[in-house]
Amino acid sequence: MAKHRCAILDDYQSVALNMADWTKVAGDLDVKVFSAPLGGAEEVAGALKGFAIVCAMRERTPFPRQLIEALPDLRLLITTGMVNRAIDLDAAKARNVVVCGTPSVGNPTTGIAWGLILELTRKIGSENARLKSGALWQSVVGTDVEGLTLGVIGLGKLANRVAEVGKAFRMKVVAWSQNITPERAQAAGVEYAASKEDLLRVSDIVSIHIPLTPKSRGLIGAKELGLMKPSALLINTSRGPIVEEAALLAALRAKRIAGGGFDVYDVEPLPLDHPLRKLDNVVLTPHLGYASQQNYRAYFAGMVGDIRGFLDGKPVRVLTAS
Amino acid sequence: MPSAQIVHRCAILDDYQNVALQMADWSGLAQDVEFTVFNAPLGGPDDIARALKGFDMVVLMRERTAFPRRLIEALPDLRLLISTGKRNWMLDVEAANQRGIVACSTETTGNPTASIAIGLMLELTRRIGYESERLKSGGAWQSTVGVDIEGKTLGLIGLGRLGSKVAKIAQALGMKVTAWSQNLTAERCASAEVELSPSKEALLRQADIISLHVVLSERTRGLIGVKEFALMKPTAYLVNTARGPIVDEAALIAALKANRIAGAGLDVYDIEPLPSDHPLRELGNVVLSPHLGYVTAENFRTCYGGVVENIRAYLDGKPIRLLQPA
Repeated sequence: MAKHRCAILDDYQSVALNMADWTKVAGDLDVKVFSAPLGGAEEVAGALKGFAIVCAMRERTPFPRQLIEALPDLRLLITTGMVNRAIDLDAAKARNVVVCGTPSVGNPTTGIAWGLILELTRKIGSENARLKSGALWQSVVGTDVEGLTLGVIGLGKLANRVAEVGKAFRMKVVAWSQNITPERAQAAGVEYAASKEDLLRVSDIVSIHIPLTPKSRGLIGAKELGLMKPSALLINTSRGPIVEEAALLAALRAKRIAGGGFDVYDVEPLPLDHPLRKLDNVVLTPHLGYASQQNYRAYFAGMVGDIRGFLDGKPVRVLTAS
Repeated sequence: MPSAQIVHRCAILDDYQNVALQMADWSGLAQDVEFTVFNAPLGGPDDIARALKGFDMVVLMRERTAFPRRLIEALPDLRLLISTGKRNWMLDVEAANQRGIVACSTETTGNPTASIAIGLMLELTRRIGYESERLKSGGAWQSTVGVDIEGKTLGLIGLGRLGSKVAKIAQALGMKVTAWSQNLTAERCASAEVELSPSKEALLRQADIISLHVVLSERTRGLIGVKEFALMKPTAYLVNTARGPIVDEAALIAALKANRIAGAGLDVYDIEPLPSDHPLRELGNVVLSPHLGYVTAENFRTCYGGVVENIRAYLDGKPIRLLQPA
């Protein structure tokens, strides 16, 4: 029997085949691993022509209707995690493409959000780089987060965890989002901010933890950045477009806010000539939120299970449009 | 009374970031005291004695410059010795007092070392600073796959003020926390909601990250040596934000070079500033910070604000916050 052609996308760290036991499906598959982004929609369509199975890593490569319709051989589309806002599930259904998700483990984005905060306030990574390149000794005086106010936008699982860490650091924590009620804030043990504006005015550190939706796109723009304290830091580990990038760049350049820590961007990978890469008052990570070994093992083992289930006629973890 | 001419000379040592004079209001002392700020380490004891000749007041930043008996006895003009922070293991208070020198301390603010301990853990496991440097120097996208600390076990050696704050933060990050020290009791662990490890050895075998929060004393010097590294998991990380000599440095370097453990995050060293040619600077599996634990603007304001108060009180004949001999 002919083997099924299977594409594994965006395996930038070249780890997909080591993170799970692929022997359960290897005999049925002809696997090709792509370790760099494929490019724009047409390039993706060209590269994936003839593949029956495509495995996407989170939302690194979007699958809009146009792309799905350009891939007539596609039968199974797998995303890591159980939610992928970059796949058009209706279009997949219309074309009889099965879409499956995978488990995930823990809340690894918490470590990135807090790591960004600590790098901005205490500069451990940059001092480490200085010491290793021969610099003599201390060059910075940090800011202790103890006693400062952390404003979390959102109060889901991640926001809650980030808030808990803030409280353990003895920060005051306030929360706001379009859906938070005073009761939910109280249940989470944080203070309720009556409005976005209130949260932005009182916070020393603002951290965003909401999904990207039409309602949240551009939630933080020039007006909002203007309300923040000049000493404030903005942390975005959610999705780039929640913050208006042009306004953000202007605020950072003018030192309208003290700095920012970002794990997400409008365009990912962040272009080499992107102006953010030139700023001193930012800490940038390459969308590492979900990139933990524990998560990757769950993702890739789930991928193998999804493929096995599909080949056996019993697909598992099928995602459907809500 | 006619205004007196300036009669006191005060040396402010080790102000590497050149911030001492901005971190407090010194103006009330300007009529009585002439200040000299030293922005670099002064060197060995002879260099220090020479540089400080003629000063009757000396302000130390933490334990950056040691003040043993020999040095104190080489400074006949010294009358007031102020150390920032509540205690200073490098200052011989008894020798000072025998010479009629007043030795005082200052308050501190917060537990800023907790952030360095947690920050070192996150840098070791998630490489945030490393990846940021890469992106800013034009590096490609993701190069690392981190280890999530959620679900891992943190082994704390020492559960005092700092240790228990680190425990709380680690728990909020989803870690399991176990603790041990030579005098740690079950009651103390229960009140910090931390598991008591039956022995140092048990803690070292069990922990994924080991963080040291004990003071340096004869009992803790060399607490982590060859034998202890051999007990740790090959995937374990060691974090030291306490004092360098608690860890046997040669054993640490050997363990790191042989990848006997996964890595180390260090804020403290046997010799500080860490010598430019020190082998630790060459290792890929360590994250090094230059003793930043106490280095926050908030803490510096408290420390230097306290120095101003101490000098004023001394000049008024009512010295405050006297250091007790060890």
